[in-house]
Amino acid sequence: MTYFYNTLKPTTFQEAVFAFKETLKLAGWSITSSGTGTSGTYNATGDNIVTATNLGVRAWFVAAHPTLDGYQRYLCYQMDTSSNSGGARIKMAWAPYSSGSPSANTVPGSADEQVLIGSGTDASPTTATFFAATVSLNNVFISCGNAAEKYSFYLLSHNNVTAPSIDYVNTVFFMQYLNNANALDIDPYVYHALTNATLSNSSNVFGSNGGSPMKGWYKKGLTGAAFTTYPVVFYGGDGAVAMLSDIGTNPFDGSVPLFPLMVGRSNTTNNGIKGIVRDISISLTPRGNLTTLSVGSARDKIFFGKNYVINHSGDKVAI
Amino acid sequence: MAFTFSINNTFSSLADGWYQFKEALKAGGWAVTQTGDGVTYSSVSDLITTATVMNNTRAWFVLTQPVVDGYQKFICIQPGTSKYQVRVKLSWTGFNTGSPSGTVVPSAADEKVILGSGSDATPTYEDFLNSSFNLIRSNIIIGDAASKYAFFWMCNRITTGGFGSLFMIDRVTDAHALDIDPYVYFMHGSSSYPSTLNSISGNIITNTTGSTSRFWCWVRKGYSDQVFTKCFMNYFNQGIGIANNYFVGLLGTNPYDGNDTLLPALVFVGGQLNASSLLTSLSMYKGQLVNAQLNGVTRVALDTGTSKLKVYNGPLVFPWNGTDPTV
Repeated sequence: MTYFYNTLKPTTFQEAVFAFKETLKLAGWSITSSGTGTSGTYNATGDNIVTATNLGVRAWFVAAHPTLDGYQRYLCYQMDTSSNSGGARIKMAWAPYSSGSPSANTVPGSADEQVLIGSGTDASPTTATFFAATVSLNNVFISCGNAAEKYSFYLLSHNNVTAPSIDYVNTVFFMQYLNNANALDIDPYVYHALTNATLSNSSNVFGSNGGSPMKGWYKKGLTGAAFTTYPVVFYGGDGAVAMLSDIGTNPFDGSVPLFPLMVGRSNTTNNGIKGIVRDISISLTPRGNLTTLSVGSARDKIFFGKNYVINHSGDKVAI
Repeated sequence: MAFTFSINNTFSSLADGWYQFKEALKAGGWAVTQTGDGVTYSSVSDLITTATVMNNTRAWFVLTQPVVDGYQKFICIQPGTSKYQVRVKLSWTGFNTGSPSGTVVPSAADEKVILGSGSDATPTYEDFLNSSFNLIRSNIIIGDAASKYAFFWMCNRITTGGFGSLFMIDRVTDAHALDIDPYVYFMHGSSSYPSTLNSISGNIITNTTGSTSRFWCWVRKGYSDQVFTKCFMNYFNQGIGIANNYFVGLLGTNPYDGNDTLLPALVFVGGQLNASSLLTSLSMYKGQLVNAQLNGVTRVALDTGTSKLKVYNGPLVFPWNGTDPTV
């Protein structure tokens, strides 16, 4: 069981994206096609983005993880349509990117692709804000697990201007494996990609009122399949209140109580529990972003969005 | 883990209901260690040998749990004159003080009254059973040693099945190793069935202030700052700020196999859902109930599903014995 990590304070957005791509590759993902952007080159079978500077305007790559439990997933990441800006258009697919008219600045298509962030078309993409607009405001934390970790990855970027409160997380992007999914669920994952506009605290990292929740497949491969939103199942009573701040530490030993982060839909269409996010826990005792916890080993968990805890490299965090 | 079932029962009187409860717990391993039959007091034995004796004014009994993990619990039960009301006390050291008599219950140094009020000498009783005995269907489920002698006494309205009364002690998992009383206690009923227990949002299991919660538990029992306090059940909210958007009763069936999804019953103390006057300094997660669960789909009271190994009652689901319940 291995995670690969990269933590950086990029001087360009290309550095952050390049580090993300390389971390995926270290964990076992491969780049199946790529383009270095407008006026650049197109590689139909591999990675021609060999340095960060190859990530030009509308540069892109498709990363695929090896077959796992019979299935693969394909991530298509495209850089901003403006020069060296922090926007992105990101698609996920579960069938290969083998259609469309890919070129140096045009991403390919896939039969079942879903756009996680950005809009427009492959030929005329609209990128959305992804990183904090001022590159120096980004503290980027990247993780990707190997096969044993189901190739789960995250990219989090934290704002360092508001230190020491550091309660702002600019970017939340991940694919995370779910425990306890139904045996017939062929895609036991959730996907999340949010811009920096709304990510100020725990209430909206995963969406206040379910407004910006994670996404995932409901009954993929079966009748009624839908790529839909999966809100966090918050802990609370029968009213409109979620417990996120007042449970406190364990009265016996002072430890921070961590609870399973379950996702599901209730009182609406496509009801059901999707599963429990394996590598993210919810803490009912909030902590500042980037606070580390030692659960299984030293500093193996780190807070983001005040109430969420995810796997961490063990390194001390310096903003 | 096994259970003793005393189910599908009716009463010949309200006093018979208390008598049946006592006898069922005895059959499940509990002992009756002290009694008052309304005339005579015994510090060692069960003088209440019939429902008729139980019907004596201010008759009472003490039930004693076998030692579990080094500790015991004691329950002192005294029905009121009208017998649908009761005064109930819990103790963890034993009822060995006070001035017990045929009509006066003993005291314990650490006793906690969970239903009723007043004093041992001048008790005040609180509604628990339906005031008409012939409208009550009683089901009692008692766990064995492996089930930590948890028990559930559920009373429903006969014929219609509406949930009316619940007295339960259940163990929690996930409790801290230093928690010497990893249990929750619940007792609530009504003189008219169905009671508020019959509703998912009946504000008895959980409400937004905690003030009407009927669950109790210890926080840091055995420590100098120990508190016996109300606790509440997590309802799994979908989103923040959305009323009635919880999962209990509203989750729906599993989209893959159509089965009901049962949710873990997680118990919390304090937190922003509880009134600040209840407890502010020792908020905590108590643990997950071992035997009772929360329903993900609203079912009528006493529905057992296809397996008949669980029975629905209000927002809770309890162990069942594989048979069809009598409504």
